[in-house]
Amino acid sequence: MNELSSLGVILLLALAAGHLVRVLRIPEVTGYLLAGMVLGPSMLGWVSHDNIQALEALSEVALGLILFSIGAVFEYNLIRRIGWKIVRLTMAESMLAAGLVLVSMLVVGQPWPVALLLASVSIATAPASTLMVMRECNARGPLTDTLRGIIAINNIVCLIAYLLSEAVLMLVADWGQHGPVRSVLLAGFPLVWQLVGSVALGFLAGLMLAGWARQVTETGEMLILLAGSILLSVGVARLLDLSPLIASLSVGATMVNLSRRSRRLFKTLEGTDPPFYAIFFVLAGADLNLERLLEIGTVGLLYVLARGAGKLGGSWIGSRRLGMGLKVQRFLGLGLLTQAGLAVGLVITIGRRLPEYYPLVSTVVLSAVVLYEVVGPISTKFAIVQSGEAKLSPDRVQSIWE
Amino acid sequence: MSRPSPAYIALLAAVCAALLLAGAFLRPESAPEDIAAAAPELPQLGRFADRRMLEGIADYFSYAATLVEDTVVLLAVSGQSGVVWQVGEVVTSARRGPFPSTDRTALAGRAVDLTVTATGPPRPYVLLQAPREAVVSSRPPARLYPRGSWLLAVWRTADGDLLHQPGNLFGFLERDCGTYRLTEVLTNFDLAPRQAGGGIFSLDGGLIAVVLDCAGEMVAAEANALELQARREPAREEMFPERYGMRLGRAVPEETAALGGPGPDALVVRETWWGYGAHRAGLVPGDLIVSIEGSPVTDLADLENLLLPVSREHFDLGVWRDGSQVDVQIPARPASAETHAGLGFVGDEGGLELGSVLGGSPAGRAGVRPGDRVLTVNRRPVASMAEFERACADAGGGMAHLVLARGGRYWGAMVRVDE
Repeated sequence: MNELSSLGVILLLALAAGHLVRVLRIPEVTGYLLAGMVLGPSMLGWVSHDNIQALEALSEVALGLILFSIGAVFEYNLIRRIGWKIVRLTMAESMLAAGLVLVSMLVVGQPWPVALLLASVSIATAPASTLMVMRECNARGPLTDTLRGIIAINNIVCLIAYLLSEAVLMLVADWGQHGPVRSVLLAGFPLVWQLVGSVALGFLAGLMLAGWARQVTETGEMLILLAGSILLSVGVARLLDLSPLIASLSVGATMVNLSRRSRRLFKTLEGTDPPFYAIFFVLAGADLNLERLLEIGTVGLLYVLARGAGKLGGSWIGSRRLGMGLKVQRFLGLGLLTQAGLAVGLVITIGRRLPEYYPLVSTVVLSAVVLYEVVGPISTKFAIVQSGEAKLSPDRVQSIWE
Repeated sequence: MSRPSPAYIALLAAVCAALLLAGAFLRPESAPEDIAAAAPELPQLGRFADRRMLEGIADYFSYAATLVEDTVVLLAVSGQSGVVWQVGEVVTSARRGPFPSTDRTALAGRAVDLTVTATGPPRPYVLLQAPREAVVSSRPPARLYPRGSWLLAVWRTADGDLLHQPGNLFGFLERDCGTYRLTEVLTNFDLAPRQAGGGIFSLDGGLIAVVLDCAGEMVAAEANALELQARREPAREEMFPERYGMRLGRAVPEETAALGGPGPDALVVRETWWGYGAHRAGLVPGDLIVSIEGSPVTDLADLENLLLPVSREHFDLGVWRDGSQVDVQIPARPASAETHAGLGFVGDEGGLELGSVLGGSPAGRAGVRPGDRVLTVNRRPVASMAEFERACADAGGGMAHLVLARGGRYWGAMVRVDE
């Protein structure tokens, strides 16, 4: 099948799957992912690896837009109001998940670098599927706000934890090879550069977007401007070895703080982006390799359990100590189980930079991703519905940020 | 909400731009690639470490092997693989016993006859001339390839099937192959005799090495380095081994003394090769050649006739052996294909097999290696340690002439036996 026909099949089947899963009361995201799995090389093979690669650019736009939307949580007033709470909550769930994974991996005799890498990867919660479920449920309320804040910060914490682990491993491996100054520079540079540089890049792109948005009145023009800025920042981030994830977040954060038109922009986005997201999730599903599940093994199962326990336990303890509502305490953890893109991205990075640890880490994480990517959105929807924050009017698309 | 002042924003933007510029220029060379965000890498998920990938790799190697399909040929008479070296020229491994003087193969889909142009004991390879053009292999310098690079060993079976095996490049080693100096390409291939004459290629089809037989040990000899020596005009000293399987030299006084020579000037047989003319004529290391066709011989130049193309069947050599002169008839022409096709087996050579040789010992310095067999000491055959010690004691201390054998090569060495 060529790219255009596979794109058509993707869109139509995604829609059909979305209708179908509504009857089953599971999230549309899961429907898209399942449709992707059925279409993908693992099962029917209608969408091939080459198709997936050719449609990569569309996925890039979709992810950039998703992260741009999430960047809106960094609005100054909101940060001032609940920012510190969210940071502490994120630290609690992240650190407990990472800690439990680290300890359990060491207990079953994995080498410490592997345990460290797995621990840092385990922090990541998939922003895209979580956000999509919230949107689909038209969710509003304290749990939704908290979740939205956490998925923004959580991925930054994950990236920092991973970069720190990588710096430590590189420093241990390289010490004495380049002299202390160069060793520290080589090990520490990615950490500083990816954080500071990505934020700076996102800020500049956001500034341009905010400035230009004043001159633009038409919705269509607004979309062109937005897509252009997002693609530019993702592209430049790749060029400069920066993190496209943080850069896109940073564009959204800049925009929401500098432009009066930001709400309108986000609203415009909501009305037009569903096809992108459908493509994004169907492609993600198509590339999930179901055979991975068979390879998960004891270590993989332990990773899944330890991470799940850490997320659930950490968010429960954190929200309890911060005196958050009962519903938040009970259901927050269930909303944090998804794991997808960032985890996969980090595994690929490990393959490039620390190849000696790649085989074990990739087997564990990639098999866990298959599991979490299917179960995660369902548990998120369950949490939102059970906490009573779902309005469940999927026919009416609503702004994610009001 | 209060908006920040424009001046403040402009300052922030300038700082960000400066940071990006500085970072982009100051990035260390080995600065790792980006931490990827989610989506772009998702499509790669399936391509990582799953079964399809292994199948893909196997397919890829098969594809790489087809790139050199026309370069690796089967030599029909000798039954070995060969590599097309340049237009009309094929190279293969030398082997124990003489190589047939002509061979046949299929080049560019047509059967052609090949004539051997360079072979013999000093060279671990054989060059064959083909009458027409053929596919030429490129020979990139192997040192351009980083350690760990994928390589492909490609050879043909006796049925002509093309086989290949992937492996990795580990490094290089300057080493001796008999008396020949070559650059060995170190790999993780477990090279077997059936691969002799086959090639080791980079995945883009460049010839990295040729698999050669060094006294029974299969060695990947770097093609680039090999080429230089193949082009060299052989010296007269090297032509005797090529044609007759013997290496000659002017005897030094110790040798003359140990071998009981008739006078100070003599040519001594230093080495013979199993199955070649000198070996078949019964010449052994330590024989002193004193005459050819009745004329006295004191120098290699006196044996010039042996190297000329002649119509006669054999030459008569006067040889001084064990204190008396014997007549030896050495065949004038190299062995023919019919006589020698399929040869290559050497039976029990007798003698005393050496289990170990100390590196710095006189024997070690004389090139004796573990596994070599000592056949005679000062011409007395030895088959046990006791005989060996007795023969050394009888040599009266000082130097003794040993005849040693390894893989079809027999050579004499003066070794100090009193240490």
